[in-house]
Amino acid sequence: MNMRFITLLLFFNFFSNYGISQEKFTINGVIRDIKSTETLIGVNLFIEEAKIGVTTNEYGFYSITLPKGSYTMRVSFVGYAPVEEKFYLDKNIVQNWQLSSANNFLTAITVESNKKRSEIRKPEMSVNRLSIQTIKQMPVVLGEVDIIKSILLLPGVTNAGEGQSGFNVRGGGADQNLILLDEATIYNSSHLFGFVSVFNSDAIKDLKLYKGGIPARFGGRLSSVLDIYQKEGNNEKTQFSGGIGIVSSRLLAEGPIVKEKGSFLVAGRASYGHLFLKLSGNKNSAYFYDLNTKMNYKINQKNNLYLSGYFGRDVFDVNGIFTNIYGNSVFNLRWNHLFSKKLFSNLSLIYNDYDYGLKVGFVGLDWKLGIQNFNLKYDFKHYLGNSLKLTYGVNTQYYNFNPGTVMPIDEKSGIIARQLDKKYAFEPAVYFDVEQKISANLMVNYGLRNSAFYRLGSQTINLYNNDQSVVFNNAAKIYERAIPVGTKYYGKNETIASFNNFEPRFSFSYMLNNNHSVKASYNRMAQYLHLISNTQSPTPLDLWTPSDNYLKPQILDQFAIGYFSNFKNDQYSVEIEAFYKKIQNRIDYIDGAELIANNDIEQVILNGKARSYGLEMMVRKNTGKLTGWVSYTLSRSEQQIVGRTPNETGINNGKWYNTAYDKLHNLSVTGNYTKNNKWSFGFIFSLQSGQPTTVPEAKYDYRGINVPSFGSRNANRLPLYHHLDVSATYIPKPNKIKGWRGEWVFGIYNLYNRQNAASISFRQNQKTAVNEAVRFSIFGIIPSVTYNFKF
Amino acid sequence: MKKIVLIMSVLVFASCEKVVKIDLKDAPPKLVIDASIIWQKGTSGNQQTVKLSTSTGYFQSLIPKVAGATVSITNSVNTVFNFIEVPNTGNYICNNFVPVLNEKYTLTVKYNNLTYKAEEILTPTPIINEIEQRNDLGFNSDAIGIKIDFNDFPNQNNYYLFSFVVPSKIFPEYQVLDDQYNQGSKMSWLYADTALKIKDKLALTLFGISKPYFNYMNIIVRNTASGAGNPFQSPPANARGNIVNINDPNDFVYGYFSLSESDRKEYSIK
Repeated sequence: MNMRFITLLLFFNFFSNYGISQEKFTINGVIRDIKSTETLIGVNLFIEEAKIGVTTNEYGFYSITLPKGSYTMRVSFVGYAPVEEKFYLDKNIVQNWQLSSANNFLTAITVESNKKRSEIRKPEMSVNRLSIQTIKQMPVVLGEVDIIKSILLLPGVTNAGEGQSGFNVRGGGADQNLILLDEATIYNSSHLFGFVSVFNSDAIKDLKLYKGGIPARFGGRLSSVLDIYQKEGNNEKTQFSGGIGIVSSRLLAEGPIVKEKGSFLVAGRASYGHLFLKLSGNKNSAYFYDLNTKMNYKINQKNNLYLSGYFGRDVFDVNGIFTNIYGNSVFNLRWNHLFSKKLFSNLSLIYNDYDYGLKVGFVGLDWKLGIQNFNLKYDFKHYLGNSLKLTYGVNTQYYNFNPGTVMPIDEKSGIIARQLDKKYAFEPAVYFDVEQKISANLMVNYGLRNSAFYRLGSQTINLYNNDQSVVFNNAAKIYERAIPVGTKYYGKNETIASFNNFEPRFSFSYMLNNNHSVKASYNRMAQYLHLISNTQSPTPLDLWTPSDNYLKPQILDQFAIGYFSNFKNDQYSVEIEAFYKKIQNRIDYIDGAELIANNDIEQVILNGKARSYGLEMMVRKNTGKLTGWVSYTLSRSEQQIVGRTPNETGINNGKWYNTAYDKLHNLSVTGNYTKNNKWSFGFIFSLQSGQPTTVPEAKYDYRGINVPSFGSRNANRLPLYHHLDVSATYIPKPNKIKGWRGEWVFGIYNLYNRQNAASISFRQNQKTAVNEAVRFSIFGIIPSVTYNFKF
Repeated sequence: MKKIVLIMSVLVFASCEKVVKIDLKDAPPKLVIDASIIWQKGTSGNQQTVKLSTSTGYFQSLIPKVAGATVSITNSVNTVFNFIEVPNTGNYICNNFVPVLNEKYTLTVKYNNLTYKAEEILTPTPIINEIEQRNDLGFNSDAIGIKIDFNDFPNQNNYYLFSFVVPSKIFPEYQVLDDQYNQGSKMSWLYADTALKIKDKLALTLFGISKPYFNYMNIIVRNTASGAGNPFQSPPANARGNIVNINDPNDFVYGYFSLSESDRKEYSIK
């Protein structure tokens, strides 16, 4: 299947070597932070004379090839003092750079030369990058710095509401985000049902969110890629940092294994809110902990090894009535190898595991589920010339799904042990991506990903009449589970179903002048895993399930156009984008579907379509004492399930309906004011349309109770959602560079105590039997204080 | 399982709920047929009631009764049991109904020149073996409740409905369960209520029900349980019963024609 690709790649290789007539040399190297020795991702390098710009890759690597001559290199990066150096190129040069961070301590102090101007030249669009400094300055609930919460302030990104897990990008589902931690997929991104994300910000170096124009090296999820990189650890000296907060505390240790050759990093975090519960005599507990580890070793100039791991768990114990433990474990080994000055490669071996366990004492139930994933990736970055950069590689994944193991908790329990059918799948992909400069003003990026998916045995598969696993009861006008007419057994590694998709990706940027550009992109994505979830936001019980003959892979086509501009000497930047997305095979569930412990999940699923479209705007102030941005999104996200025959009703009578995460308006204002090197202040204002909800349009009396009859699905909205949060950061001794250095962060979440509705439910009052509407809200005003330290 | 999600959500949201005023649009009224035939163990089961009403706006206080309908139930050998209207109550009563386990019955309701029909089987119910009081339930192990044990019918899929009547609520509470984890084995159910106190009397009834009726009541319970509509819950869906308008198949009525044997027990909290 992939022979064609390889031929194509060889052709590229040949082509690139061919047209060279002039004598050319390469300058390459790795860029690091001078203090932490961390490699820096996305550093801009610009050759003044040739008007050529490149950026460092995920491993801090860059490579530029130029004709013999003398040049001026300008190196610039957000939060760092820029460097300029002249050099003469008459042979290949390895030039590593060490940049000094412009900040004194944990907080970035903005300096005039530190420009965050919009990237207007590259064909990359619909991408947002947030530095960890920016994230750490944002006011947050209970003082917990949170990566997932911070990306909600970007245009086109929302979530189901306060305290909810997951996020939605451009009207896509929370299951359509590819969340990568050091290239390993994370299946559940939240602790405590969404109150805190699983990412310990201390251990994070960089993150990038792709909302569209997704490069061909990514695949497997439709809506976005959240690419998160962990720090490597200081390779010169051992040091510690950490923080003490209301909910949790953190400690990070880093240092050299072999000086300047290898380093390690260990970061731990644990919550202790449950200890207060215990003290107050409450027997319940809810807590989480996680551990990030990373080691790297530089074998020589051409070879680097990275070993990283993540382990996190959530524990709930409600008085022994039920205990609930779940979390991710990730293990990742990577090998960076330079084949030549122009050819960078990375081989990754990744294992991850999501585990969920539940014990319910009163029914005697012991329940487990999980997903295991083995991933082998081999990626190449090929710097063919200054106008051509090629990325290509292969990616193969093997999945093992356990939808549920049911066990009796003890011998007294009436529960009968049962194993739901385990599912296996194999997902190989090959891709290439070309970034090409056509002219001084026009850059294009085109690529293709060929992904395949094999659902493998051993498993016994249900067979249905006409392949219909859901039948329509025409008399009652409802969908019902079909009764299998037979079963078929597939042996180990025998193919049950297979899919193959070509996913083209294309984008271009056209510079109108030095400060303005227009960009457009198209991308097709295929997603072979479905999150079986019928709630507004994901819960830890939700199960990923692979595509098969009844659950087809989701396919997305997205178009986006945008206008990008920097003005007033780069003090401000503006980004405006419009997007249109359509998705095939988006699933929804028949009424009253039971999703948990359902061995025949295909019997409650209907295949449909989804679409979303919108306009995103972002204005940023990049420099000065006050920095920040305003982002506004106007968008619509809808779903449709039509009947398979004219008799069938579909869902909502076959009409388009709002998805549960449709937000018509979404505004956020984020600001940071640096008063002096001791004090800085942050604020966030967030305003959104209320979440779609379904409300009753009638009630009736049945068996002595008031039964509500609901109107069209998601046709109404919760009240407007808004809150204002503020924070102040105080550094007592900002000029101290050695020994114990501390920092206080004071925050108030929801300053004016808005009672935002997480939901409105309808019920019959138990005393009066009269119907009433009840608003649930989660966070009122919440003050917090956190102390961070470093030594 | 849904219960667990519910418990978690209650844990998270317990302290932040408030009754609010909301304007809702009212849909036009529809006929409601509450034809729940219950044969309590140890009784003749001769007297049965079918209730007719119409739906109304969600916040309206009065339930409109339906008068002037004709209601009858026929068994498989075409014996007709007529239900006679009690004026101004919406109740239609039959005094000579003959219940037979596993017998198929047909309900016919004629109203406003339209005919509604439904078929259903009278489902048997096991006896409640044991009720055990527990004083260690709830989040803080101090809530009072009861544990109910009964034996599942072996070698078949069974579906059950519980109703609980407790002093703290002026209407019954329903819960459904099936035997998927306990096929042919002992079934247990725990009912806890923080408002229960010593000397409180509670009544519980177990009903055997059919699979379609289980699906129907599952939705009804979901839509009426306290905490329904919270963010951990699935979007509300309307329950559609088994009663068909034979003049217009696209029309539907609220309610269900169900027939169950029942075992009712009372318990005083000690």
